[in-house]
Amino acid sequence: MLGFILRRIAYSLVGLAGVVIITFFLSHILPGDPAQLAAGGMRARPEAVEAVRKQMGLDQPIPVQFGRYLAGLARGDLGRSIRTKQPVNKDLRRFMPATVELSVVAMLIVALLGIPFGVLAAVRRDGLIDQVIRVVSISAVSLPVFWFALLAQMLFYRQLQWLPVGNRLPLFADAPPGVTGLFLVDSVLAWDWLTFRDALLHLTLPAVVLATGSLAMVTRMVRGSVLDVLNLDYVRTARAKGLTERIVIFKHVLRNALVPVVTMLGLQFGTLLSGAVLAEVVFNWPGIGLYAVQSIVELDYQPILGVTILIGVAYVTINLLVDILYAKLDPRIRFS
Amino acid sequence: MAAWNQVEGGKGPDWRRRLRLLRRPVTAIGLALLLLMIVLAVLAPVLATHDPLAPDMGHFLAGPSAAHWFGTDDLGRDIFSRTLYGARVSLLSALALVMIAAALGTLLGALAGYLGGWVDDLIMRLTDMFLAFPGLILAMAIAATLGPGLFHALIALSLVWWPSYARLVRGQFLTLRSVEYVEAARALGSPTRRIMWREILPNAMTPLVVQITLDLGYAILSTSGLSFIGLGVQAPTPEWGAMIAYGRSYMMNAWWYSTFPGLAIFVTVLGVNLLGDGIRDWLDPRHRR
Repeated sequence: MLGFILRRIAYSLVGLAGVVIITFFLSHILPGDPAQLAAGGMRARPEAVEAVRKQMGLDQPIPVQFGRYLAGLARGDLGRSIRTKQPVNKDLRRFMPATVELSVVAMLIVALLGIPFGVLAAVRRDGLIDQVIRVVSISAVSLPVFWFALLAQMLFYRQLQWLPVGNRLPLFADAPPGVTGLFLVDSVLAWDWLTFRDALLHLTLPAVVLATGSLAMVTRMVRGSVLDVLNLDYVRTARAKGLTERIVIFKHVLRNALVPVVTMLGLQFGTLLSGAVLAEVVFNWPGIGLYAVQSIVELDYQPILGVTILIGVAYVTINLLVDILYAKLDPRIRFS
Repeated sequence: MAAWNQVEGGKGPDWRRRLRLLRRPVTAIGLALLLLMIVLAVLAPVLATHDPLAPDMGHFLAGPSAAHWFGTDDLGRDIFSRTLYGARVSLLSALALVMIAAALGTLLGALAGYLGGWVDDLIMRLTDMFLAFPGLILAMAIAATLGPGLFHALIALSLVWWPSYARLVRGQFLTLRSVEYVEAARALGSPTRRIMWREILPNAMTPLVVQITLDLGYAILSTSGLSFIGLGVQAPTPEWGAMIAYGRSYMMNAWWYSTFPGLAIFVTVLGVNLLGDGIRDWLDPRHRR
């Protein structure tokens, strides 16, 4: 197991190197000129651009620039946002909890609904439930998340007035005392149930919308995984022994069929984070996705790079953890 | 991979098996939806009721009516006509995206799979690096670096997409480089380049083409997503993602503005996905059962 973990960590280091090298390429080598942007865009005087270029170290040889870039990353220095006039890492720390809260709740919805739906579809293969789940899930993966988010707002906010939209709490409401920055957790810790209710209401629509696409994918994959196991010899043996279908499914099939689901959930996290960027924009949800997009609009480059690095690192880490968990659940993986 | 090969080795005339694909109503509906969108895109100049770019200040933000089937936008432009023309942009850019990505991925995947050794290692580590990010996030960063615009958005998305094709093609080349007819070509002294592109590639095409079909829907979603956040198609060109973004500000009193372009994306992607799903089942008996 240790050998497997070490090998898997080495593999993750390639991913992290990718994050560092690719973002360096983006910020230092591609034709877009950060100095031009920082000096005030296309209308900036050439002397001013030159001065900024020197100040940013962009006149140095590439290896020197790369060394400085690495040193900066090691210190957690991601540059400064022109728009918020704050260091990017400070901004990220401020906006990160909203994104974490949104994506974790969405992921919970995906796991808690996707697994039962998938199992149900597999057990009732080609039956009515299976067909309905199939059509609904293909439709769900075909929805552009930003449009779906708008429709949901028009329906549940404007028409039915069931749920609030925009931000994490009502206007003028105070955030619960910040321990984790996750409002649901913080409000419970502060025993503030009113805030908890508000936070939950504000979170519902964005989380459900964000979860929809991944939920559909996971449902389909769980269905496939269960069907694969249902065809195995040992399941036939279990049935031949005269066990009830319920015991066959719950005791024999699920235990094996759900192991690969761990990996699926990990991979879906990337899809979920991509969707979160778009959903945050529509729901005005103050996370790093909204932060990145607002920076794009103002051609403020460092924050975009910072968000990319942060999400890259998070994605690599999560996939590492998921693979280790997978190997723990399935001994065949770590010995192959 | 076994599933693809089974199809290659299947019996009976090719066309009959192809027709069987359409026997499932859902797959046929998918094909019909996709064909409908293609026809609408091609015939946009004939079918459009208005000039998609002409503002009409007398009728801005008018709801759907006999004159303007999908209503008008904040500049009084006809949303039906803009959505029609948007089909051209969306379909063509999605196609361009998968084509560029597949070409790049095929080239690198073929080199990796056929040559092996350090070339393989280098290219595969490169794909690992790109796969360290969720695709759309990296594409967003690249597109932001290059600057807004459809062309840049397509470059950005292609750069993010090629690794999956490279892996697919590499696998094919790994298998095919040691089959008999390739060995024979090599023994006859065919140059490497000829063996790769004339002998192996044609036989590696089927899974590649299937993968491209399956990816088309996601390509439409991705390009319109980048346009939605302002990185893709720029005003005044009608494009679905960008139209939804503009309509967002008028969401509370002009529901039609964002709704119809979004519906167009949904219908198109649904068509592609239903068709792709049918093709996958048809090719992979494991799922058919």
